[in-house]
Amino acid sequence: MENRIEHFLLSLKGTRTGLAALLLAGIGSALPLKALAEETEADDKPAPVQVIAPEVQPRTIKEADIDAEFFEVGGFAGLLSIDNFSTEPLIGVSAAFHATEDFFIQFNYGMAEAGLTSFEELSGSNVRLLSSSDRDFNYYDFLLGYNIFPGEIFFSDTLAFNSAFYLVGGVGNTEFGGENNFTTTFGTGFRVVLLDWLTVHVDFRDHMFKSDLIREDQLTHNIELSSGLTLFF
Amino acid sequence: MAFAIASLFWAASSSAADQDSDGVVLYVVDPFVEMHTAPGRGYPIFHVIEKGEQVEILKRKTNWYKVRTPAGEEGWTKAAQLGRTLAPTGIPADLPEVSHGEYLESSWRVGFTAGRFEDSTAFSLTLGYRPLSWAGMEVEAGKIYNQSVTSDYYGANLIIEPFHQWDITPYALAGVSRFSFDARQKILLSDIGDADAINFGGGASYYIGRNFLIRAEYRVYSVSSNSDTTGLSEWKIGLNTFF
Repeated sequence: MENRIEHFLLSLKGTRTGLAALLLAGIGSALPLKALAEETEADDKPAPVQVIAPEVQPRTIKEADIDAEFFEVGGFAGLLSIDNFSTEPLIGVSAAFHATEDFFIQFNYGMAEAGLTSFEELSGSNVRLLSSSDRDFNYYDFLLGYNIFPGEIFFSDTLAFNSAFYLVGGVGNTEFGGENNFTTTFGTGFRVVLLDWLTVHVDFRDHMFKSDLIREDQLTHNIELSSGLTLFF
Repeated sequence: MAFAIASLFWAASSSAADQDSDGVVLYVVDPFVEMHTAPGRGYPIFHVIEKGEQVEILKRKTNWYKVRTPAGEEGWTKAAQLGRTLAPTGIPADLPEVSHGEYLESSWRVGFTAGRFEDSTAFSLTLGYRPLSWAGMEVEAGKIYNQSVTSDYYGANLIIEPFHQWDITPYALAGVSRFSFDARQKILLSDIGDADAINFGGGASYYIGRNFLIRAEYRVYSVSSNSDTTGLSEWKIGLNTFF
């Protein structure tokens, strides 16, 4: 028994010396027990190590697959008014990441083909400022969006859709006239959430870049008016 | 799309695990949980779920969850309110929350930057991954617009970010990049070719919103082309989102 007590105290030593001292004082007062223990010392072998089986059930962590809708992809079509040139049809694709209910990041890629300037129209078919391949107007941009006026539209007595009026701004590249141009884009848009996963939107955007095509160092404003559908997934 | 970060984790004993195979059912701990008509703070509250009632989670949109009551009412609740719910086993539900400092955990981030490369405008797209809380890496692709030359550039950087205790987190970076030039006026300059560079820099990150990160950065480049080395500098501001 003494062995066991010693063993117990030794195992405590180092970690909880204070507690061990307290226990020791208690043992001192219970010394008569020791005499009792000595009587049976002859057949007292070291006690077998008692294995305590912990009653802990392994916990299974379950990861639930909750459908999360952060990403939005879609296409749009509309009109692009190319500064100094004509207003032409525009098509494009967009992708957005909705980080919070207020903010989103959007990527857009759009394509249009510029027509003739007034000068070219008036000068006849032998005067052309740009070759036909240089008339391709391709742009991409990265925009930060802010849902400034979230709301609801009431289509009928029983049918209402969530909506948001949002602002976007960002930077990108425009390839036009055989040149790449650093482009700043600002705009507004209106989004109607038809279903949890389907939205329709109308956008008004100004793609601004400096161009030397017609006049030296002219800041051109290329106004886009477009509409499209996006899917949330 | 079932997203790992958007999923809900909770501990359940094996006996209770099979009871909710199709949806996530939780018990409300708060006095009540408000159900809004749409995922946004301004949308009206049309129903409340009382303490002790159960709620089934259907989907997530930003920091809102679409839930269904046993009576069949469907609405949207804020993640913060739903965070104080219990799984059927009595163990608190562990909702994936993003809070300040979360971007320091191993995570991916994407973003774009805009700035000035010497006197030219530049922008880039970045993709970063952070395997350690104090170190990460980043790949970058961008464009520089000079009056006579536009340049595409690609780079990879190592980012060291050892101090986390402030709202603004400083970092240092080192990396390599490659520039490929394209003359704007083809007549004046013919083929200019490519150049390689090593760059060193530093900056600071500031966390806004739920998972946006603004980074301001300054770099010096040592560009070598045609056995000639030039020192160039760049500053830029980036907007990143991490998940």
